[in-house]
Amino acid sequence: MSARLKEQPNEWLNRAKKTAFYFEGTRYEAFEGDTISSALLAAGVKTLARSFKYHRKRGVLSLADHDANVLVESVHEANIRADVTAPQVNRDYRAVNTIGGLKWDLGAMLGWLARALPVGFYYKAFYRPSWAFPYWERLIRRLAGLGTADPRRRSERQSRSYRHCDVLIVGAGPAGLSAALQAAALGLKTVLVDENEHAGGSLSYRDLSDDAQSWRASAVEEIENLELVELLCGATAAGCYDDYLMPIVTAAGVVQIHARSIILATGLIEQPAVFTNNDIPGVMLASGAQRLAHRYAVAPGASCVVLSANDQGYQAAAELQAAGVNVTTIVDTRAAPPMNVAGVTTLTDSYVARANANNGELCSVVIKDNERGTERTIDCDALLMSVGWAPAGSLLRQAGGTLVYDESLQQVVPEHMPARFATAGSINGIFAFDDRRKDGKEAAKFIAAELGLEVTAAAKVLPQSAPQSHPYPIFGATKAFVDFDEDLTPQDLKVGFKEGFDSVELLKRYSTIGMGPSQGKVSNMNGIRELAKLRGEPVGAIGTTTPRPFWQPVPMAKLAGRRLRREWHTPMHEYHLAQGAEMMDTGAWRRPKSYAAGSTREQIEREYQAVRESAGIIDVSTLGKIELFGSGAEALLEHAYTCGFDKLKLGMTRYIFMVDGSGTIVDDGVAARLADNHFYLTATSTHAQTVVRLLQLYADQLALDVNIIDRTTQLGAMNLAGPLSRQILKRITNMDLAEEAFPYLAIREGMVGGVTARLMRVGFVGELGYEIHCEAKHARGLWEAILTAGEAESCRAFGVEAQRLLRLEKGHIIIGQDTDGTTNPFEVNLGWGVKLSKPRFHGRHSLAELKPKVARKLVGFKVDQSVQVEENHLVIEKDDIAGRVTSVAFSPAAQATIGLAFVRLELCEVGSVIQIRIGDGRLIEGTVVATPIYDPDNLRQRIDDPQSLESAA
Amino acid sequence: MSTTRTARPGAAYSPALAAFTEDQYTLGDIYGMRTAVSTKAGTNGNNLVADLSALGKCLVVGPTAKSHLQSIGMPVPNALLEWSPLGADGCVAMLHRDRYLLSAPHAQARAIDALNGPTPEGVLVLPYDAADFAVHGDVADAFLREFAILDLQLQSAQGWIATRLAHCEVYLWRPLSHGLRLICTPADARFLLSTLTAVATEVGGSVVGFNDYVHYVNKGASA
Repeated sequence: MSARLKEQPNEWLNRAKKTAFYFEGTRYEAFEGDTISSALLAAGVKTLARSFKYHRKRGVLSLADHDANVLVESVHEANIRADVTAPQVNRDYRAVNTIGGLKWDLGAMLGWLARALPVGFYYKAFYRPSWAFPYWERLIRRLAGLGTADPRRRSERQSRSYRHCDVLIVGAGPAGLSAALQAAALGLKTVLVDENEHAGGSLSYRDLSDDAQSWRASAVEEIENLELVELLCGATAAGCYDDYLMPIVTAAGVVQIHARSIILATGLIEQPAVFTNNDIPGVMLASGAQRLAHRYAVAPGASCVVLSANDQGYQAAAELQAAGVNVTTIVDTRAAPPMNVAGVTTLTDSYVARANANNGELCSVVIKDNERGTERTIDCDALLMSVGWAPAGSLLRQAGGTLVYDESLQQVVPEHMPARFATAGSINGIFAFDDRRKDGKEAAKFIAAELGLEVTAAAKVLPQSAPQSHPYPIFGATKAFVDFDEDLTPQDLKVGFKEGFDSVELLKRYSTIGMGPSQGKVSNMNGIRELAKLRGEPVGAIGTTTPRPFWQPVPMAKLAGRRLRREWHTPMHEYHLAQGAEMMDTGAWRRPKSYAAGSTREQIEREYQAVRESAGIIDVSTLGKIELFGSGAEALLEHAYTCGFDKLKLGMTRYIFMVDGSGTIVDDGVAARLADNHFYLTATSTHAQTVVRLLQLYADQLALDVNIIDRTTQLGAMNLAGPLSRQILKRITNMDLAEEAFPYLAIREGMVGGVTARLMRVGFVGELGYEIHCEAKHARGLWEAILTAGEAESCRAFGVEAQRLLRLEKGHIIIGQDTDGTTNPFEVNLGWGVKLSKPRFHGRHSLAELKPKVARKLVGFKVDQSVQVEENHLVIEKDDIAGRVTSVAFSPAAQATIGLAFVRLELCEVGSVIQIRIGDGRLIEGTVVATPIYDPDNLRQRIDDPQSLESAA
Repeated sequence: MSTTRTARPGAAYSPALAAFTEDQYTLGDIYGMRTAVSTKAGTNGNNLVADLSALGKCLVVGPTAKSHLQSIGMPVPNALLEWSPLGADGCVAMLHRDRYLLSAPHAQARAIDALNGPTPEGVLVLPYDAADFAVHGDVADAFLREFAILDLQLQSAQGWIATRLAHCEVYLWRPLSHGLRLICTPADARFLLSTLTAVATEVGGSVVGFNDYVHYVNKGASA
């Protein structure tokens, strides 16, 4: 039977446009503007969901996203809030958390076990016998949770955006609208947000007088035409963060608003009464019924009873009646209510003791007379609860404000406000329409004054004098629910309290009250009241729990924003891709691992052989590149690095490394002297920015006159290495490359391949080589010019894997791979680079202490067996860990597996046998060998005659 | 491995070049740098992004950098992280107490050639390789709305803003009446341009070539 009412003056429906959707397999129709819940209720469907724990039938409670009673899902989306979500055309929705469907949910059998499942039962069960735990775990995992996580769902990611304003107003009800008008009048750039699809707040379903509605219409129209005000509807203020930042969740994505000030006109959240079966379909909040009738033109029932503890219950009854809803009775908890509604029976000093169900839905209520103790039953299919309010104060708490319980109002109200924050309207306990408008206006003036404008504020608007909330609306304990999300009853809270969880925060965590998807919006207040009763203290002494962002759940797709995967590309990136390179991450950079998919051993060895036998070129643009210029440049280097620079000649380079204050190696590279006061440094690819920051720090600490210029990404770099590299290079440069003119470790500047470049005779791979640096824009051209020049020698590009193998044979370490967070230079045979005779450098004191206390060393090792040794395999000695492998690979030069490993001092002698525990648990033997295993006399790096290769290798 | 090579010795390549395909753009050399010269699809009003990486840039560093710049007639800003106009859309920006970045205007790309000669003691001139994008109209608005955490309205028009947009560290400045300019490291060029392109597409804008931009600026269009 349709529950659709005649057209309502303020309805949100477009009756000219109909749509259809499916719920639990049945087709329903909706008007444009309907939500899933309103359309279903209009079609006479009252049972819309099942509860979380006992799978009890549930229907609409607030119709305002204040509760999570009605969660549905589709193949496209999980946990859709049906109360506030429009149905999509022909989409099939199903209730979440059912076993066998909404109508015949097998999970409802859990209700029979309710006595055996008290609050916190899972803390005390399932762990014994231990063998049964996996079974319980699987069962609990299957039963817990709400919607299903379907990996096939693809949420459309949405962009995030920023806005800036002078004042952000949350809530576009009478107070928020007034505040926005006043703020704009004072010249403040204002953003006004409201979670509803239309502005007006409670005026869209309450205060339906002509005066109020005409003011709402004109205020909204005025605001929409004001340039200084941006109105965002359907926009939820999800949290409040430092510096007046609020993420606003809209259909189009998250808007991050940076405001100079904030006004919270967030209003109140109506609270339910607690009595037996207070959760069954048909029992709803009066404000929920008002939203249903006035926004969506749906009657909450054919015969309605209002349970009231305040004047708003009467207002609801009168306005619903005027809308065509049949309201038969008002049950008032007060003995002498100051009003009545014509044509509606009023029962005073009474309350609802129990709701009765037929087929799980409300069919009657049992009314108890407070004074006489008598009971009477009234048939009805809708019970509308109007027993009290709680402020929507979470955002205020997140901002650092405080709330306090006002005994005269029986309501929590704002107490302390952070700077440039204000609250306005019913959140302040102000209920009258005119007063809320006035309060909003005054809040805007107050904020303007806080922002430095000369504004005279009028007298503060005072809260309502009479309480509008029942002091203890808990009229039953059996199947009477305090928390609808978690199926918690007063009895559950009592159990928690008796077990010692007697503070509000502890009881929350033990009982999980307020921890469900509605985050306590309609449960915390009653929970606090119940705890106050259990403790025998006033409600105000209990305090409130800490509300953390988000105020409403936010889909991950909205938080993620646009898909951005930033990666740094070297100037040669496109070349690498064109050659089919397998790319890998190195910090923010992408580098070629090798020039073949899968980086097979064969491919890596092909690249390796090119370097060893002819020439190869590797893109080293990722290296840090730092220019030091100024009279303090040398002093800075002396302080930052362990070695001495006084003997570094013009046009020469040297290997450098820096340590931190504890003597741990931080980074290494090369330093070149270009002029007396001008140096050029390289740093490792992943630590370049750290090195720049440290250099800047030291320069500031020492007040040195030096410019530190990070050119890492402005310059491209490549290393041409191999015995034939010189003859290749000769073809594209006029520079004198002869050994005496350009010796090992020298740096020269000149034209190469038509571009200005810096060349360094350094090498990581143990061959004659040139590291060539040039402007990034020229690097690709130079790279290809070198490859073209080397075609006759079969010069080829090589990747990181081949480079690692080449350097391993040469015994060169990689910082971060062959060192860890405690490695000092003496442990990795770099003691020669530590000049303790320098009076001062960073880490000197620690290194002086560490030098005589070395307990482990990095050694080379060789394994003759054909087994898979991997990095981080442990070195074992007498059943104890004696070290670990840091690098390992099969060496074509040694025709054996070689590697570097940290070992105890007693194992570091050449020839010592070490035991390595490999992946399958076996211990295999390795032998400590001298490093480097390849070209120990460094002849190949200085080689002038390629014919002498054999002897050098 | 294929040895197909396309680069020319001595050539300069825009760090964003790979984003431009020959079916959509006419590629060519602008001030010696290969880049998108013009789009084949035509421009869409004021809503555009252009790669201006071909415009010369250099750093002038050292304790006497300021006086050196003044001696050769360069407009030197008065304060740190401010810029002075150099032609219609070039600038001299102060990055550090004795470090200046010069960006040549499109009409005078050789304006910084004067710095290539001998420099006095205490001055170091370094080429400054960077990706440089002009962003105009709705694209600029949409890009800033999505990525700029700072309120540009509160920033001085002469402010040289070092910030992070779309995960990239950029210098943002606003040439006189010509939209936004974003300067970032060449390593970020592809990523930043792909983000700008996505935003431009969403707002009906387009990514244009260098000469399209020059034409647009010469028309006197403003953002």
